[in-house]
Amino acid sequence: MADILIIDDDFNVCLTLARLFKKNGHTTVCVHSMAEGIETASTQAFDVVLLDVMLPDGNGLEILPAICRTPSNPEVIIITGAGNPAGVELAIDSGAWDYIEKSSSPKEMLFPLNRALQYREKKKAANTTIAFKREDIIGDSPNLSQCIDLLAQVSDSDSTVLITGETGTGKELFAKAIHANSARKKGLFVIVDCAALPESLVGSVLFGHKKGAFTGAESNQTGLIQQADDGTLFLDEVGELPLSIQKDFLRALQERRFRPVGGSIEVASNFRLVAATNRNLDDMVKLGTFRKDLLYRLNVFPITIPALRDRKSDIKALSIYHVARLCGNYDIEIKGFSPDFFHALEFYQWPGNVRELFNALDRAVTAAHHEPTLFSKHLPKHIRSEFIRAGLKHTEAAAGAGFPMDNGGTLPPFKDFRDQMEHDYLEKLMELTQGRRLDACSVSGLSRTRLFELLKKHSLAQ
Amino acid sequence: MRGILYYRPENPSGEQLLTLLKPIFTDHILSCHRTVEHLSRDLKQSANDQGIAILCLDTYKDLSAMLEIRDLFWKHRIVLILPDMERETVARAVQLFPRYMTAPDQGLNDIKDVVSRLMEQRGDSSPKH
Repeated sequence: MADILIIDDDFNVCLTLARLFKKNGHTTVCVHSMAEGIETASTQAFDVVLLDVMLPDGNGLEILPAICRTPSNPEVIIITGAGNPAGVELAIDSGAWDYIEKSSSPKEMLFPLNRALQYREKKKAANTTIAFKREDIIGDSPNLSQCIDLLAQVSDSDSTVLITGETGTGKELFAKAIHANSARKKGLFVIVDCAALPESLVGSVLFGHKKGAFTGAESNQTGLIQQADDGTLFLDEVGELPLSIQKDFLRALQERRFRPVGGSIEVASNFRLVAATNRNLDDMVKLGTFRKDLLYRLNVFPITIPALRDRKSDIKALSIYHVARLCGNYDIEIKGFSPDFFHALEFYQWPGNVRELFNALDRAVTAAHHEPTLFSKHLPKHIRSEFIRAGLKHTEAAAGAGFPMDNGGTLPPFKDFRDQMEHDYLEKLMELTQGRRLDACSVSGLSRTRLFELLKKHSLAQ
Repeated sequence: MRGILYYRPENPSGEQLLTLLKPIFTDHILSCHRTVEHLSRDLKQSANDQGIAILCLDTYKDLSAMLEIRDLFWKHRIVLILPDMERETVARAVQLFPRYMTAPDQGLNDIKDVVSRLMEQRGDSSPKH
């Protein structure tokens, strides 16, 4: 059953078509001008729009693009007067699916409608999103969601992918997700860490070698490119691939054939390449340390993973996930979270991204010992300090809104003003650090001795 | 930065590996484990920064045992010394997502270089405070 909109100023035509379509199980709405047609198509969902060309407020073809752009993106069939081939050609060129002549028989009128509906069904089936297995990718922030949409798109294909992002953002995790969602998921996922391999080893690891190819090559070895046949080869830190190897690797990527070190016979491998780097490969090309043609081959489908500071709304979900995992590993009761714990996490900028977050959570869970709830005090000092400083800035900004005057509305003596400011600052500092002097020193930059002197001066020492 | 070395007492390559690796870990901890149980316990209890796990596996049973506890290695970069580098062995070993794989018949000297570089990487990737 389809929803059909008829835009025609001829009431008889509208009635005839509406009865015909209703008899075939469809629902119909009829309007009689371009303006009504656009408004109705914009506010209701239709599968097909039948559009007359000669309308009282203009040429129907003028609104054809606008109708196609409405949210339901309907197929458009033009209603023409008999014997107007030029008009038909124009309609099809304008994006119409088909046309109906007003003099056609009911069967002739239904045929283009049914074809349009069949096409629409096939289109819907092709656009259905298959559930994407996210593995351990946690979060639903807009930036991450955009990234996951790209992952889903590329997983369906065999394209080479280049994943970029700061250190600690989870490039390996994303590469694994691409593999796990691809047609190659039954094949191997083979990692090559280009930064971990000395230059002398890279060729042998990638391409394999023959016995006796070099000192120490006591037997034949199959390279990882061959091991990744029908699977995925993940080249981590691809920017570290030595220049001397890049040419041979490029050939292997282009032709899916290569020669093991010391070998004379070529070997074939149907591997899919996913590469990752936190370096700027364009800059490396300019410096001559990375081949431009290899970059071109790698950059078929680039994906950039957002830094954690650009997806802060995911911090809570990541923390809950990771703490649950830690507590499971340590076989302890799952810990809860205080609001100030999450606030502190959200203030920090996370230069080390998710890896740094997970390390901080490790330390917080350890610092909490048997306490059931995590507070900001359990976090590493440098993270707490940033949170506390942010709190102080907010307080200072609020306080600075009005300049302090004495009751007479005149400027107070400088010493009184300074003492008052000192007192207010110290009071706030000790409140935010919950009386912890080490934290207070860290935030304020004061030495312990100086802090103690000032606290004593303002009767704030406990 | 922490290192974990595992090898069964019967494994002839184990001691050789330990001798190779000790000089790299002079400023860091290198924990040695001879049973899967001890290794599991250590991995579960560890609350330190990410580390490097060098697993010297001389039998397929040993490799299978590692695969059963692979979830515990999520914080570690893994270097594997396998019984051999045949396709079937490698096909199982890649499930540990190792950064480097080799076998005793390929020589063990390269492992020192690889582990040193992994330690430098991990050291560089942590923010300095």
